[in-house]
Amino acid sequence: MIGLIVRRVLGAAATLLVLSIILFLMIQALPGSPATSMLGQRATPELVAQVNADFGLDQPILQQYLHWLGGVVQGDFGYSLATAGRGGSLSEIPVSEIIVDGLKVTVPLAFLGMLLAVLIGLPLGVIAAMRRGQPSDASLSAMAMLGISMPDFFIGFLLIFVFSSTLGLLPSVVPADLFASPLESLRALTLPILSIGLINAAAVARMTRTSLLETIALDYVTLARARGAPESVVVLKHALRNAFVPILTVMGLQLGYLLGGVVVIEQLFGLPGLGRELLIAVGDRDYPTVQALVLTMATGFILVNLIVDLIYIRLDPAIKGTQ
Amino acid sequence: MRVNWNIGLSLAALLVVSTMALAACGRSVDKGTETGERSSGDLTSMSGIESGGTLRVGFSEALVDLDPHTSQSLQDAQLLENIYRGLTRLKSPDDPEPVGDIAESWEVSDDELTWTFQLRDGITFHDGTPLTAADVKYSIDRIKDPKTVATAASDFDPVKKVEVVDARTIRFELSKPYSILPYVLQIPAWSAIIPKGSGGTVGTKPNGTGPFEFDSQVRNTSLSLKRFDGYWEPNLPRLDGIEFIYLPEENARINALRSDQVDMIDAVPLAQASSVFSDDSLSAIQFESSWVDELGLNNERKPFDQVEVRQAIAHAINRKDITEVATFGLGEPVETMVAPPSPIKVESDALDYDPEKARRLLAQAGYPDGFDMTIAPCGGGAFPEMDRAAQVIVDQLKKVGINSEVENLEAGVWADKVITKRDYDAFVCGLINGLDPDGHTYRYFTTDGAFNFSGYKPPAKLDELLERGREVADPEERGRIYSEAWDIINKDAPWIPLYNVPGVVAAQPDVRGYQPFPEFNLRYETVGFAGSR
Repeated sequence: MIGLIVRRVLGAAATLLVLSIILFLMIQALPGSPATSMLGQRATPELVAQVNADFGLDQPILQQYLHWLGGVVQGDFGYSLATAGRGGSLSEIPVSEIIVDGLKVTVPLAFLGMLLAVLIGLPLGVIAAMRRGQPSDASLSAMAMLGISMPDFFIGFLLIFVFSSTLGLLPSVVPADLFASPLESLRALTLPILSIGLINAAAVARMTRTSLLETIALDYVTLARARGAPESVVVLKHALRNAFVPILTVMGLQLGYLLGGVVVIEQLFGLPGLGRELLIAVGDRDYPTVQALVLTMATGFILVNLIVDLIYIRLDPAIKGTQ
Repeated sequence: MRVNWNIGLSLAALLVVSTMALAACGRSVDKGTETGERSSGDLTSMSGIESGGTLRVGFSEALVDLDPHTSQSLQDAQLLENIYRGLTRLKSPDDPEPVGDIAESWEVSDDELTWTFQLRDGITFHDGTPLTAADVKYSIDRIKDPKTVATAASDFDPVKKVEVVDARTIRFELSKPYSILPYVLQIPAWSAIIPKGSGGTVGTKPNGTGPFEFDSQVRNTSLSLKRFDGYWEPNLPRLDGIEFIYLPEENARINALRSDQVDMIDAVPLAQASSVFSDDSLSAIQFESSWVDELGLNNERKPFDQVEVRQAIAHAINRKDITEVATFGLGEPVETMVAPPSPIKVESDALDYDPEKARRLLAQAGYPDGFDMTIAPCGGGAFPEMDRAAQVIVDQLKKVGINSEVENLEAGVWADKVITKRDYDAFVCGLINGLDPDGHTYRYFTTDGAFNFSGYKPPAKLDELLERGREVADPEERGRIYSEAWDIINKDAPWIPLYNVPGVVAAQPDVRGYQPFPEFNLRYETVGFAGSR
């Protein structure tokens, strides 16, 4: 087990290193620069050259990368270029602060969204599987299809329209400091979490139904049924535990994706999470911030999948046992 | 008892579908038929305002830079104008002439090269330190210093030296007469007066003389200001504080106002203007602004280097139709780039809509079969008016044989291509700051103009006129100068002026005291609630 974890961590580190190099080259290859984003209609060639030189962007790329890597190794991710010192003004914000602030919003949002997705999707998927072929199964599958095909933006907007505009029950504006009043924040986060939860519930429900149906078709389940076990026991005790593996994989993938920040939902509700920060940073060509944000999201994704794999291994003996 | 799933689920599906349909219907867009000014409710009323309360504003863009001199966008300047003020300010929306703010009065020497300003007594910065002439000198020097990369730097070019005469008196020495100096000194945020030596901290610890002081901010989320008790104007500000909440997404912003989660929104999308005015639960105001959009051409690139081709394009477009589509009928076509509410009356006619003449000119220039070109609206999608205008222009140009295509670029990429590299055919963009005709003319059309990025080569007469325009003080003479200047510019057609965009602001019915300045100044010292909040 330990050996596996060590191997995986080393593999993750190597992946992140390669990713950082590719990112570094890609971002700088984009047209425009921090200077042109900053200066807009004032972006005369002279001013652009001056500002880019201030940011050290006139140095050779390899040198810039090594400088950045050197900083990262010591835990220094640099300063955001969007607010970096201009005219001697110390308005620099360290990139690490942006990352931490973004995580404080995106992590709870992702976990709560996923939790809701599982609470809704898992039972619905089980019911659909148990009533396979009946009209209720067809309706559930249709709704799941609808949920998966609907873009996040649309669900978010729909929920705002119904619960905020029309019924006035829930706020669509999130309070500035999420941790100041957790109860108020939770109420404000209801609509974003609901948006994420509903869409992902559809994916979880579908995967649950499919996986469960496959497992139910296996011989050992038929055997359990033949031995007289009630249907619910057959499904919940025997089939579900084993069907859970692919469901878990899907959940892990979804959560990893969510940790990348649901950009659209964050933008719609004005939530300062990782996704929205990335959107802003790319627009600003804020190179160090983009670099750190993408690497953070990649790390989150790798971490979640590592945990999923470890849980998978723990479940494995259970499968081996019943066969 | 078995729950009947089938019916339950079918009902749920029906609910989803019908809500979707309702959502689509609820947002019908009326084409506006009202141009110019209109208002519903008492948003601009100055009576019955109580002291106190915190105003929640749904604001369209997050603050980027707290440093007033280097802040780049109009939205930053709007926010910072509540924290920082300058030597002068505009009197009122109906009378937008510069009057004293930090300066009490000023006089000009006979040779017009020396301006002496008397500063008001009793003005302090937010941290309590009294303001003196040394702070003014420091601020202007900092703006002019190339290392600052200040936004208003080029506006102070004719200022040679700033001298402290005594604690209450400051002297500006100019290299040539500059009648618009008081106007330049009022530019919100970019001409702000900051404490001496505070250049290194002003980006993190704001300290100004404005009616509100900085309280706190959450990056990309909100900005909180609180009343400055030491503000020099008596009985102002009225509010205890302002909370700016950034809601860049248009629908989210409107929704926040409708559901009473904010008290006011600064920029109502034109598509929603009609529904906001017909909503009895909201106050709204539409006002004439200084915002003018144009079609710009790359004068250094074939075939736009030929004046006949530029004139042909000018004759090919029908600005009335463009205005109707771009501004939902709420704006007005313009003949020059000069802001319509400008106190200086400028009269000139842009080339008229005449597709036949356009074809003849193209043939004359050697392009009887037209040519291909791209048009790039600026702003990266932030200005839907420009995107719509560009589409109409494409249709109109087609009718004279010019095949054009709209090129949508990110804001930074647009700046890179158009301003830095000058690698473009044509663009649609706009100018806001600049009620004075100089603001929308000098920089763009003189030989040495700081932002003459269309590469226009003006005749000597135009350079001469525009230099004189910023030296002469008499408003009538300036009107004549700029009218003559724009006759020349319109005939050469380096840019083609299109339309003027109105400002639309909406608020809860108990918000009063808002001043709709044409340049979108957001001065909140007079704003307050009718009845306590």
